[in-house]
Amino acid sequence: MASRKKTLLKVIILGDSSVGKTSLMNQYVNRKFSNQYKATIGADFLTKELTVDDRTVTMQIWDTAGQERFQSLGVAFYRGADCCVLVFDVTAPNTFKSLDSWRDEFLIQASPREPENFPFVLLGNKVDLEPRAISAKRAQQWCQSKNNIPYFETSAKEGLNVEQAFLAIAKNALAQQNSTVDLYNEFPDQIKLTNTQKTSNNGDSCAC
Amino acid sequence: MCDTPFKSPYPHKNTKARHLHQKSDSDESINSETCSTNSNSGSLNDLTIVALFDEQQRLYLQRLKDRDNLCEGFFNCAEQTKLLYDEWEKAVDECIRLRNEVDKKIDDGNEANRSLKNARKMLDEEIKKRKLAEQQRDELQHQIAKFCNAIVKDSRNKLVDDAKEQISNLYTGRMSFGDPDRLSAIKEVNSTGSILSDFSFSRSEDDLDSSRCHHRPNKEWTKRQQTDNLEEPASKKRKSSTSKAVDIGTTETVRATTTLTVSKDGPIKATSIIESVPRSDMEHLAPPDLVFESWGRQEEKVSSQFQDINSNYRQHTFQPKIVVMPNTCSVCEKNIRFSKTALKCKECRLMCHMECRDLMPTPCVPAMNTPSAKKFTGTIADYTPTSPPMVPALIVHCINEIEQRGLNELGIYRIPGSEKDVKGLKEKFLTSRLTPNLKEVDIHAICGCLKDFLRSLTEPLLTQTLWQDFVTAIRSTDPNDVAPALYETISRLPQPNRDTLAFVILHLQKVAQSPECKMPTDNLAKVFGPTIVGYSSGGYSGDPDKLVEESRSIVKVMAHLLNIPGDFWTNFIKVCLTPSTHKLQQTPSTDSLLRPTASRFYTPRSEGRFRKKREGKFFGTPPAYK
Repeated sequence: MASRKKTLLKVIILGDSSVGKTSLMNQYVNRKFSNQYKATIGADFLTKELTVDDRTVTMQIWDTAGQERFQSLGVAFYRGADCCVLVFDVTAPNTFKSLDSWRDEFLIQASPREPENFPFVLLGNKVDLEPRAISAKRAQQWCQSKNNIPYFETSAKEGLNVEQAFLAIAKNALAQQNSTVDLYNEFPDQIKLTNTQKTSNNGDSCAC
Repeated sequence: MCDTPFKSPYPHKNTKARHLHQKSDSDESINSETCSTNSNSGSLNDLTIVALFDEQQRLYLQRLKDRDNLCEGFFNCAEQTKLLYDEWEKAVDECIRLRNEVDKKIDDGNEANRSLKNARKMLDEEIKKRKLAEQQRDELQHQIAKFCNAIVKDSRNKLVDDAKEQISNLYTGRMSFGDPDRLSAIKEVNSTGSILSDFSFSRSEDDLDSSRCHHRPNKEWTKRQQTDNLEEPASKKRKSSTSKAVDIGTTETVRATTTLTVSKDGPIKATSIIESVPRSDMEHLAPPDLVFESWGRQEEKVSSQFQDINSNYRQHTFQPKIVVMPNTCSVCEKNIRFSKTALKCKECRLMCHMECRDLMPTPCVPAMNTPSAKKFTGTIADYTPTSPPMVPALIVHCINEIEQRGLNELGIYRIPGSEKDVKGLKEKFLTSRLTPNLKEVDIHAICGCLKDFLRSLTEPLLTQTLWQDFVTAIRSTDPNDVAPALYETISRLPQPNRDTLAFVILHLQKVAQSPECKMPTDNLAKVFGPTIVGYSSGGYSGDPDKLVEESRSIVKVMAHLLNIPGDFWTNFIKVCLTPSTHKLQQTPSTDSLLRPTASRFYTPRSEGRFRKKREGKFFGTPPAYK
């Protein structure tokens, strides 16, 4: 019942500039890859409907700008995210190194209920390019150290693994949503309010 | 005694002891053991005590003697040790002395090596020069021979005796100028190839110049060389510049400035800058539509020489200084030794070895005000020199390096550098007095440092107060209004902001033009918009919608700024050239241009340009001036 209330999943893509965040999103949503070398302003989002476990969900994918100065802006979009996708470029070691700061930044700004259980997904993009600077093993190790984050190696250019990665993202996001909705249900505040109202009504009737 | 039963040892011993004592003292030593055991027993009498006391005393005396012996031995030992210690100390001293000597020798060796290298370089240069000179000489000889032959053969009858004599003089004069002995003197050295030959490596360029000039028939050349030397005997760098001003239109002047820099052992540089400037007021901002047409023709040349302008527009003002406090050379990052002479730039306070002077990072950017040197953030004015162009050293050096290495780097300024490197580099720039060596640093880290510096200013380059004006300017409905409104707003910027902005934008335009970078104007605008333009409220408050809206305007403003023609921005950067060009205008060089060639020879003022134009045709100009 609760899950049917909200089938909109908010997914945020984060990572350094020029790792291929926009390309990944475009490849997934539009199945297109553009060779244009274009930076993103602020943030942008696309939506895509998909079926997960016989349920139709709308995934809202937020593509953020990797430029340092736009980060102050991106913060506004972090809130209410159901899943955070971290992207790095397997050919650029710096982009891998800054993953930690991206993750921390997200957790601070989005302040999810359970920071340690919040679903992240790591994508190592540009696997079609040579030479590789970050091995799959190293990325997997990082994932293990961060509470077993799922890791996918993708290529936005060739559409490699993109579909699978986003499906996993959707599943993770959905799981997150279900758990938070359950949490909401556990709060008894609303019921108590109506109870007090009833009791007050009773009191009134007594006085009469 | 051993046979006696164990039960009765004491009485037996006691009696024996008593008896012995009575007998004599001499035997006591034998029974001393027995006596001492007796002392432990309960049955003692006076006699035994006395005997025991004597015994003890005797022993005591013996011990004392032993102790004295021991003491003596110990003293001997100590004395020996002392002697050994002294010797050891001497050895250590010797060691230190030897080590110092070795150090000194190594230093000497290094010094010798360095001078050897210099000498080799000079020698090579000289050989090159000589070859050229010889070539020229041969050519001239050939020409003269032909010329003489022609005259003598064809028109001998018509020539007057005087002319004949002159011709023959000329001929012989030329021949003597080509005296093989003089030139082969250097050749000998070359042929031995030995560094130990008695060829003096310390001979300076000037010496060689004048010595070669001696056998030129043209005496004036030599003379001028000498006067030149007399004028600035101590200076190591001679600079002769000329400028000519030709009126072209009613409002514009095209000025050609040739700067010839002759340094003692470095390369000789000649730079020409051709610029057109409005005649009325140099300091005044020239609207781009007023810029003379010749810009179109010269633009490419000027932009290709922009690097030269960059490196020439402010040279270091070196002062020799004897080092007392340990100091580091800002070129090779090695220590400058105590009591050595080093060069210190008056303006930017950088120091370097005498040998490193040519490698000093240029342009010289005067040191910033001391108080802000310790702060990490401030407005741009806290970092800029106080004289125009007011561009912080960090920006100048980073941009110079990026223009040297980064202009074909894909995604320059977009790809982030390692955060650690960026922070480290920035800190080095802002806290140390040295200019960090950028040659080894990752290019993206340098870009990151530049961006980080601009971003961390307390106020963005375009200032908070003018932010709204810039946005209004680009929102103008009529596209023709946009440019004038922007120019007007830019002119209201404080000078440090304006100069820095101009410098950065000129650089970014170059980046945008490089196809390998794949960073056209709109990409650069997205990257630099938030950094240079900034948000109206500092970007940390307000609702997201407003921020998104603002960020789109920001990028538009930046794109417009990047699309303003480079000429407009160059005006701000070139301000610094104005004083020097003014000075040059006052020299009589312009007149000398109009005189007949013969008199031009001897006008010392026009020397620089003259050498450049006429080299090799009238007298062999040292090829170095080419």
